[in-house]
Amino acid sequence: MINKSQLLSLPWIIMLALLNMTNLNTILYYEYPKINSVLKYNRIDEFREHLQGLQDIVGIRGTVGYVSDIDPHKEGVDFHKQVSQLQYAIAPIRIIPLEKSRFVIGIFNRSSAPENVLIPDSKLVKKFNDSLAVYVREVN
Amino acid sequence: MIFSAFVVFGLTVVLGTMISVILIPGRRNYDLVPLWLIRFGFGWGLGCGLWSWLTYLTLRVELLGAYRFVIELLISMVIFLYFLHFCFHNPNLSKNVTGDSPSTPSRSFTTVALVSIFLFSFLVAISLQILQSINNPHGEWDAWSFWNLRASFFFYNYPDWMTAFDRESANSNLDYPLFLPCLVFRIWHWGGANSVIVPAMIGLGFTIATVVLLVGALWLLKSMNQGLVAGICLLSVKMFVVNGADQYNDVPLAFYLVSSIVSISFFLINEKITLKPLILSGVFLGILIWTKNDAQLASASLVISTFIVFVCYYKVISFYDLFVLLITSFPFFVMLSDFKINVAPLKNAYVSVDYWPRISSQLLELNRYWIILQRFITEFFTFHRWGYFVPFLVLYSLVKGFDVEKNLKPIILTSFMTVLMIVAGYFFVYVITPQELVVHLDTSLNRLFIHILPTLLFAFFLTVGKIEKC
Repeated sequence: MINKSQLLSLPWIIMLALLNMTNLNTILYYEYPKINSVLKYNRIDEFREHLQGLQDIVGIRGTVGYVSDIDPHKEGVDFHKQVSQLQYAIAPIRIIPLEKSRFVIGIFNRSSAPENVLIPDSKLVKKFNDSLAVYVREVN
Repeated sequence: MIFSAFVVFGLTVVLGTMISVILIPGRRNYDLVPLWLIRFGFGWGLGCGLWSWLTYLTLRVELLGAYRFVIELLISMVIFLYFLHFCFHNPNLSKNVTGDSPSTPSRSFTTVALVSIFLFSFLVAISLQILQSINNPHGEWDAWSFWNLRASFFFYNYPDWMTAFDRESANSNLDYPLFLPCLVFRIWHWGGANSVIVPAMIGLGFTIATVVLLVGALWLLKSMNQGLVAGICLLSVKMFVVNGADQYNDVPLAFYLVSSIVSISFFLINEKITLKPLILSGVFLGILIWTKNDAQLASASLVISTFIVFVCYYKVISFYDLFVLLITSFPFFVMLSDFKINVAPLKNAYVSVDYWPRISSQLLELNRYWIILQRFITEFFTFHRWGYFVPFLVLYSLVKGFDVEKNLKPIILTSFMTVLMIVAGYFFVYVITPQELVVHLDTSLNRLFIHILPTLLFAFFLTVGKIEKC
């Protein structure tokens, strides 16, 4: 038997149930039906997979520089995101400033193939795929 | 790796729960269910926090694998033996010594409906977090930019772990405290692989522990229904649920803040017969400052509020009691100081002398205050467009009114004062931020509100009338 106070709590119970509709809606209709399509941050795994041989080139505690066809001044967020993801993927190899590094990782998603990219005083050491390569250069 | 992770997490919770049983007296006419909910919640936080602290300590003194394992085993044995000793010498553990019987939860329509909605909300939230973790296994930006990145360096370069703080490298925000990196590293090291499951499980664990603690504390201090309503509200905030899967450090911060306050509540409702809850509160306060730089503001706010409300105004806590609380957090403070001075000494961009001209000009820009105020109000009512429980709370308080028990007044006042001081502190930080204001607000404000969310709900539901009230 439902008494008056319990009846009065009913609207609150309904409101509480509705509060969770945001989460339920997210699960059912919003993002997750796409779960098997392109994953949001699969770049880290992609870097890990393609750069497996990097340690043989630069050593397990080595350092590398980084060049990309993303302009750090115009697309700062994308540039830093790519650097951070690359750093996480290749840890414990460290990314250091380009001018101090003997080895350089190049990521070119929009422009030419790695073998056509000109990095001053450097030559291609290994091409991992059509957008990812390692170069070696002279450092004073 | 998954098996190892489960074993380590299981051991962590068991040891943490043993400590919380020792430090949380079960002497009054407590209901056992909420008491154990609180103990399990505390247990998770204590286990993770103390392991992180111990890991940093062993990294600093360069205790290699086998020795560290022996030390951890010894500490675990000591805790276990003391726990057994405590249980055998406390026949009143979890029993009522006053003669009153614990109140049995009613099986009214309201309670049954609330339990059902809570369980449903819990299931939805956990499913959401697991799906988010599968969809996003490496977490979000902060996770791979510094928290897990730091853990990766520790894992691969151990014992040469200081390479993680190479200032020339792309590693950023080197002065961020190491609560999460140390914890993740320890479990990776134990399991022998850097599995993405570990940080995801830590996120999930803290989400569950926060909810369980909030429900248990309100159940014990106010009523079961009140705890369930608060739990449903917390679970409804998508930002809070997803933050764990993003492998960020905001939910642990929120957890340790509310844990410290709940522990002080235990000291008061136990009529101050034992200092143990204050010791526990001090430990939580210490772990709190080890989570993030933002937590230093939260811990300072809590200490100041405790001093003003408990010590000066209500005089329910003596100077000696406060000293006990602070001295317990001291080892963590020493560890943080060591980290900031010896491991990652960096110039603070907010207060360095070079920055005073910029800061003083920003302080005089009224437009900044207006932009920040607008964003704070919008964020408070929408929680990044993902939670609408604040309008619900406003309506609820208007209809149900306020029902404050006299002995809970200091707890409520301290909680609200702490929250207000944190919000004021964040507001001020945005005024003087060296970053572009809108970008800084866009990228951090939603997470800052997570820090205060459990404490706010705890204080709010201690203040308002019960749901069954006409």
